[in-house]
Amino acid sequence: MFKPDVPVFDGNAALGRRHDQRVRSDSREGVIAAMDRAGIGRALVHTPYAVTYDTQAGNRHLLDLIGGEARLAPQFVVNFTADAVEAFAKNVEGAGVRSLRAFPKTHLYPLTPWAVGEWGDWMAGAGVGLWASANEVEPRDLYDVASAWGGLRVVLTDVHYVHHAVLQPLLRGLPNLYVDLSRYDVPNAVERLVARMGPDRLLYGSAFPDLDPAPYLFYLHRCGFDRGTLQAICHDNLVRLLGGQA
Amino acid sequence: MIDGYRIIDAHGHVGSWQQYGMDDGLGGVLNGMDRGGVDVACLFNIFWGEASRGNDALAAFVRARPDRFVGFAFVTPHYPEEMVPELKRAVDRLGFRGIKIYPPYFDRPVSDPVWSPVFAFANERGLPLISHTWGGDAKCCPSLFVPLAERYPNVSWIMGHAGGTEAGRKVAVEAARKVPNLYLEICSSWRNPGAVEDLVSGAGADRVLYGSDLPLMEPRIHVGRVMTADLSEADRRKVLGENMARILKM
Repeated sequence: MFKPDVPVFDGNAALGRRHDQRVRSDSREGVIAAMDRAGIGRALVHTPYAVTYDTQAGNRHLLDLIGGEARLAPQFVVNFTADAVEAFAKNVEGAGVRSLRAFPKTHLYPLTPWAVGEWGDWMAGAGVGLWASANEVEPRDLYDVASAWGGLRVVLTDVHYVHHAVLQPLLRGLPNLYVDLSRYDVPNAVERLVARMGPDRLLYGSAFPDLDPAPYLFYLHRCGFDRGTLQAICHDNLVRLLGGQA
Repeated sequence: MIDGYRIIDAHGHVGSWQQYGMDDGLGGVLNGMDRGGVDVACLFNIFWGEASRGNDALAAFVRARPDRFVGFAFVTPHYPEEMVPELKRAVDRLGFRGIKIYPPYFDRPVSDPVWSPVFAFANERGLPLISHTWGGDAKCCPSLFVPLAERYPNVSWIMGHAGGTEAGRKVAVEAARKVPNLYLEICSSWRNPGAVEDLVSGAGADRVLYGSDLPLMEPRIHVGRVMTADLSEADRRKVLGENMARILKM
């Protein structure tokens, strides 16, 4: 059975039950088992309840679900129009959280500089990264927000071939934009991105439990990359993005 | 070939679709195949209103590497009078070895009688026929293929995407269990954990085919889905290539 040759830190996973379907792995033990099967050492996780209903209750629930498991790094969900930045910042700091995930479409606001407001100042200053799904944000809004706060590191997740046309100009125009590769199926895409801009803004993600984590790792291992490039994509870039030492 | 497995891709395209980054340059197609260990890919060109134009472009592509590509003929039901003559030309003169149809592309359900001459031709020649399928789509739901497979028993019916989503795959498995000549091709963006295993356990390893949708989707990811699935070595071998080799009489 295939196993990765480098350490892997998954930058796009979820933990916990959903109200609308039963996923195959919704518990800490289930996620860890799936990580072990795919050869993933650590995973950045958020929880669905925080997306759909209540960010603060969901984020507290996430910490309970993680239960101190060191292999699961918590990622809080933020609603820029409903949460209060000062109280939220305290919770983030208290929990050792290093990134937030926004769902503007689900939360019914545009991800514009005027909606992000003081959150952008705080996140850029504190080095807290912002994750947003390509299905949740308009490219123009993403461009405006990432341009407005050059120190804010933004990760665009769930990029699919339907987003291919806007991805290239966004990456050219935004040096602080990173890409989660979990759903990026375009042939030879990762090789082409590495050739154009190097590997430093590419992140392996699994989109687990929606997607199987192993096949994309298999693909990355068959791109002909040297070990440094492969490890950057699978692990080191995310460590650095979260403020650690790779 | 990878780890001793002969791999045949049952679902590939020729043509350009710029907005999705789809580029059918020979080098790019072969790069993904070579690095993923794919030996042979079945290809079709579905983009031209003039089916013959697409089939000719495909023939040129196959001629460049006949050891790596197998052509499947494509026809458009918007011009039904052209369908059978074009199929004859594509098979007898261009050397194509199967047929591709795409019912929702033309807003013509697979149950529409307009397709009947195509199915009769495939049945007469004993050709495999691959169709886009999607669970819940009234034009190409896998359940629609059961009566067709019964009526045209000499055709190996390949359900592209095997119903597409997790829910669609369940419908596709149910369909495959009812008739012996329905096959499930795996490619999909819905790469749920356990998807390949579910197809094999539901329909049997003899009925599941590796496919990628190249060059719209990366073939190495879909090879990885089979290579990392919890399957016996014998079943993995069937899914990756043995089943398609049997269908193509290779």
